[in-house]
Amino acid sequence: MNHLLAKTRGRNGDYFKVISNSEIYPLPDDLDNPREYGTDYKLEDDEWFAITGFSEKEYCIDFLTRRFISTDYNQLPRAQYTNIEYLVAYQTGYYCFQKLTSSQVINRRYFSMSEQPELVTNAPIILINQVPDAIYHKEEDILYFKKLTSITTIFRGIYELYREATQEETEEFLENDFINLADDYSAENVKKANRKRIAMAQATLQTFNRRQKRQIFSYIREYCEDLEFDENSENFSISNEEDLKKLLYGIEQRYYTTKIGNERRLANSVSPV
Amino acid sequence: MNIINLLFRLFLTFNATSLILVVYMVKEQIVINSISCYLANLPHWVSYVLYFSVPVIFTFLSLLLSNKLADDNIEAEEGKSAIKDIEQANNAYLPSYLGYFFVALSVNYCDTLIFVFAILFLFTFLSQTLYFNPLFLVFGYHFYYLNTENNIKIFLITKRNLKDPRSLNFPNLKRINDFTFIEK
Repeated sequence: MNHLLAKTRGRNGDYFKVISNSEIYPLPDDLDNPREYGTDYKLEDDEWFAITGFSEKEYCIDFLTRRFISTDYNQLPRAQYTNIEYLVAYQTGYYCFQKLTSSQVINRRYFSMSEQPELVTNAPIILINQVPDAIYHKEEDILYFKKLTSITTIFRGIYELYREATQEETEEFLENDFINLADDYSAENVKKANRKRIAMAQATLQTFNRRQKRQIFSYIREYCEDLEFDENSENFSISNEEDLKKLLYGIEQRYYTTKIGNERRLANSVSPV
Repeated sequence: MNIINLLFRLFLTFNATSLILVVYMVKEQIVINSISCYLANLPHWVSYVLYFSVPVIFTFLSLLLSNKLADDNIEAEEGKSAIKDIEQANNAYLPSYLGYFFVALSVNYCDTLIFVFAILFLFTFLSQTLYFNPLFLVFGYHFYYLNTENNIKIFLITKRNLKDPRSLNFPNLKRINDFTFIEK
């Protein structure tokens, strides 16, 4: 039983049927090599990250928990094709997800190779990936995926896997040279929100070279005047959650000054433009 | 694909409503005898049978055409059927059909009939779920309302006699529209 469905964007976004009775994604044969997700782990080519007991997770979608019956879904209307958020193929017990990016919707003129080639214009096509972004095996209740960022829009909230730093990571971060712990503040005191920020800041820091790090520190001092900085040992003194938050915001470069009015601001959330 | 589907639906609507024309012609005793001198001595019923056979042939054609529609299926998984309950709908069309017949029998003028037929055609087409064509029964098809496990009701045209929802499996359905499916 093979069906391809499309999920559309927006408030009225829904699942629509696209094609039936053809296998869309050949199932990979290396699913027996799963790894638990870890931010710092780089997968080998034949490995998949796996989340067991997926239907229990809060970021699991309702679509996966109810039974799949193709006749329940309406046919995708022509006008909705430009509005597809992701594709999901149901292949007897397996759900294969593919996030649709604009590069996979091709709006070009083309002709197919045949005896009587015909020029086709104005007929956008959608490319199907060789390997799906995520595979859910219903019976075993396991979600397999390769890259977390490509499925975060499908399973909202799954990003939390990425964000929260473990106790070791938190300790490791606080041991950095540029941090001086004061007032008995330690890794045990770090709360969930800051742990998430630490995980991200760690990743950001890794991309910086020495000079950039120094630039970041002067940038933080510029915006966070009340954050104590020791000129000699070149470190910030962190004594509570608030201090840590300021430092972490600084590493993420969340502080900025408006162009007109010169107002200093903090970006509550950031996304690349 | 869309065009095929639209044509098919127009065709189905015509088949479902065309009997009204047949009834009207029988009532008005319009016969083919006057077309040619060879036919002049034919009894009237020959014309009537001929009229009746037109929608029957069209219905047969529509069944052939339905192979071209988009595939679908409702399959049992691990022996568990996806259908919660079945409701027979063979008789459901009777009231509307009797209505059609009475209209055809009571219309006096041809242009009235054309107007009434046009309205019926339009509403049957737009109502989507009402492709009740009793001529399907002639070809051994039955009508059912099915309720799936997710509480979604669909209309199914099939040759099978359905009774027990527990063991149902429809591997080969065709989608007429989002509510109506026909089993091949």
